Amino acid sequence: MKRNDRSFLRMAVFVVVLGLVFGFAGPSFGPVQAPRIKRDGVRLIERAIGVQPAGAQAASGPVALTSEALAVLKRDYSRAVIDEAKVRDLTYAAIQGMLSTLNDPFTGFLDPDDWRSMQDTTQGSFEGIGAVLEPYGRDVRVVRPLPGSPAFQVGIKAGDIIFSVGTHDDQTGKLIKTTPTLGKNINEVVKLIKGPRGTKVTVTVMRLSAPKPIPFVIVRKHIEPPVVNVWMEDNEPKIGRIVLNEFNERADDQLWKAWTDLKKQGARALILDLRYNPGGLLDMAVRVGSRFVDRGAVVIVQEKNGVRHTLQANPRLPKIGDGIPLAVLINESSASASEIVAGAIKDHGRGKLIGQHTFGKGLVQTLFPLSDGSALRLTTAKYFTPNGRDINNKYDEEKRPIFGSGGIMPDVEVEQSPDWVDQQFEDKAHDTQLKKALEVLRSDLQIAARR
Amino acid sequence: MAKIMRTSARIGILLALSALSVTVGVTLGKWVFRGSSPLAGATAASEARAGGGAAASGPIWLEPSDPLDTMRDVLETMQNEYVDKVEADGKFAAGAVRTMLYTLDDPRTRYWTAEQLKLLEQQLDGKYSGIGAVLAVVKVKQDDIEQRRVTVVAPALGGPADLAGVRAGDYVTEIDGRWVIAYDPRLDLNRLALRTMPDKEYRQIIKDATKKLQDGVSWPRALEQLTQATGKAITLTLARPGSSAPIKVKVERADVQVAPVAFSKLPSGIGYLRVTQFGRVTAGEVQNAVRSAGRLAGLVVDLRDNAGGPDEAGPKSVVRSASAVLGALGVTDPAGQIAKGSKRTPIVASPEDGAPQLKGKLAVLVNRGTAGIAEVVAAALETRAGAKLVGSNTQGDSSYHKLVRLSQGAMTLTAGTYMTAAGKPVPATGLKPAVAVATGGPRLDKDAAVAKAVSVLTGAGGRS
Repeated sequence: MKRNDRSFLRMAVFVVVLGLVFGFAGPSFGPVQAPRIKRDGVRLIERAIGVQPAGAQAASGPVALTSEALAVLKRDYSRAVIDEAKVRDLTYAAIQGMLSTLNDPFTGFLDPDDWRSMQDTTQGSFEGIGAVLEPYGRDVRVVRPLPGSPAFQVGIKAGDIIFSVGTHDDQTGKLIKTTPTLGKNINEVVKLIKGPRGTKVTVTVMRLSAPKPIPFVIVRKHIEPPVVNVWMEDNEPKIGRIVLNEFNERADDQLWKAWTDLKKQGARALILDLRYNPGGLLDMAVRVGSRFVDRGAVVIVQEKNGVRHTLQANPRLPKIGDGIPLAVLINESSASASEIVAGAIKDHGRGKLIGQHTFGKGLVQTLFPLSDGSALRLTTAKYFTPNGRDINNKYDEEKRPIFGSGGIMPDVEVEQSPDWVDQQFEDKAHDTQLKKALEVLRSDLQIAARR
Repeated sequence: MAKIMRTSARIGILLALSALSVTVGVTLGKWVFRGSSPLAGATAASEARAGGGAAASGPIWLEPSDPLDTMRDVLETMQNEYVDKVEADGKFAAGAVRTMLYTLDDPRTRYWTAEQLKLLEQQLDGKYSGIGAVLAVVKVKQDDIEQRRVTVVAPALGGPADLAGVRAGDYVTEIDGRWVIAYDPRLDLNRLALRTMPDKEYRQIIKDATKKLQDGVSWPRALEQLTQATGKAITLTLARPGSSAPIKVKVERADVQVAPVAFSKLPSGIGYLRVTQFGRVTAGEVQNAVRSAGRLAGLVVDLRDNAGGPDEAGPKSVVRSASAVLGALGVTDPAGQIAKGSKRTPIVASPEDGAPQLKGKLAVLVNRGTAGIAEVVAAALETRAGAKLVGSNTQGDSSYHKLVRLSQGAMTLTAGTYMTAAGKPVPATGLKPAVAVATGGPRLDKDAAVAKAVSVLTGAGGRS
């Protein structure tokens, strides 16, 4: 009886999921997409029901063993009281352990604290130091400090490896404890670093160029990161530049607004800067991709069991630039959703990619909120560029991505100047990649003019 | 109903393309959760109600629930939705329990896979593989850094480690020149960062530390290598308490069988009884020895390198075995206790009906390899049977730990504290023998410590 209920509910779940994944829940996708949704939906539901009994049976393994071990601990363990709270912590650890056997750094369990703070972050405003972090083998490293953030102001740089985090007393500001971060997962590190505005945290980083770990005492602030930065990069000829920082829910709106601005000012060519953009929502990537690609595939998503879905560009969505010269700046911190957009632009020949090869993450994660306030982040699909290229990196034994084994190659490869101030998008004087993009666009404009 | 609500919460699924990065204090790559706002949650719940006949109210994620239900959900989702095929083999269960027990940060509390368990059981039956030693990972604090060190609790008599000169209490710091990772070497750097030294020197230190970590061997892997039956010899670097220079020894790897009990009558009319293990057959063999010995002028009980071991329910219980041995050796109760919180479980010396009980003077040989229940036995013989302890300080391992079989593999866990017959925990510095003699493990011939014990019993040089 119970099982039947669950099967029914799973059906509901799948319909909703498909609505989100393939329907894009918005009016902008036309009827072209509709029949496909239905067909896929039915197939996926069948699959779900078919899997159910086997799944339920196999489920007894890890849960049963964890339950046994917990019972033993409750009865016999002498070094700590195994109360309800402890059981919860232990079980969460068991879940982490179970997931870790998948050897997938993108799959993980978010306990209610992690999940709550993640949801907080989606509300738009936060209190912290303003550094984007990523897992790096057994370490956590800085993708970039957000311009203007406390992390940026004290001098934390892209590529810094977090070495330890010092916790301060909120009242007195005194350093209480220093926690080394090697081997801690990214959520744990984030938890250590985050805190209310006005309070202090010491973040010590390792940097290749520095002889010693560098401690930074940082006062946390209220931060609201801009989704896009936009300005006219060059006036003669008029070349606009849009820096897209992430693919959140506002990304497409902001991008479109930025473009309308540039257009009003008479931009004749565009630089889309995706450097250090770590990605975001899949549907947003497809929407942004649709701004540049007239029709056809933006990305091909391959589900479990090898079923592929082509996510098409929405032909009705107004296009950015309507064929004007386009250069896309990428580097090895352009990841996932950025790679979808860059890949679509490259495969459709819409613009030139300039910079360094991208991060190499062609995997889609789904977040499954769970009833006790925790959530599961699970890799549920792979994706390929419209031409069918797998961009995933290979990983070494330490789970470190082998850079260069995946990712999207630029059309014009340009190493960044070592003098460039990391992620200082305003530091134009040292930005070799930007200079190259301007050069390419100027010549494109000349060629266009001669015709 | 709880189930329905749990599932309905999942309707709040959203598909996010992972921004694999997390923004500290700002955003996790700005995941936007359309379905997870309270409003969406409520909508989802009402949809579920329409279908499943359940009523839902309030924010669904505040529902208290059994965390195992969460685990069940995660497992099911993983099996149904993970991008690659998920084999439903035992590795998920092992991974779950291993990690869970690991977070207790107590080296004695750990998970054993079926293969590891097999090796442990053989060892408890006196059959050793690899270097031939009882090994443990212990927490040691040194230079303010908490370290995990692979320790030789006791080498097996006549085994490769014993023959190569490995001693109880030695720390294995390197295997074939590779550091056994005891702690994050960067903690050293943290300390050094406060000191002034030329940058170049410091850079070298960082380089060395990084290399040390990269080339290092984790302790689970080290234990595996040390217990592997394959014949290739390995070179161990040992740190021996009290000796400042590291010791390097080449050790073969071979199987070795050690009889838990050995008895002989020495020319002086003194009996010599060696007990290296409190296993299933130990008590019976001790009783046989006492019976066959007849009248003795005295008895030397050799508990050197008796590592104790995890206790188990049933006939394999080391405590039960020790109780019977104590009974046969004429100890009067109480012989000791196991303390857990305020609870005290007595260790009862239990002479079996009709079994002979030894009458006569006793000397007990101990060393650093005398650990756990063996220390309780030594203390009981001293306090309750007037025995003289001869040798060097014992290990000081008061942790009472248990082995519990699970449906897959097994777990060991700390389940209490050993208290001696005097009602105090086994001291961390070990029992201090009345007659101090520096001694390693038992020797098969020309054992100076045995000679000393004999002289204590015959009064020819002892202080009795």
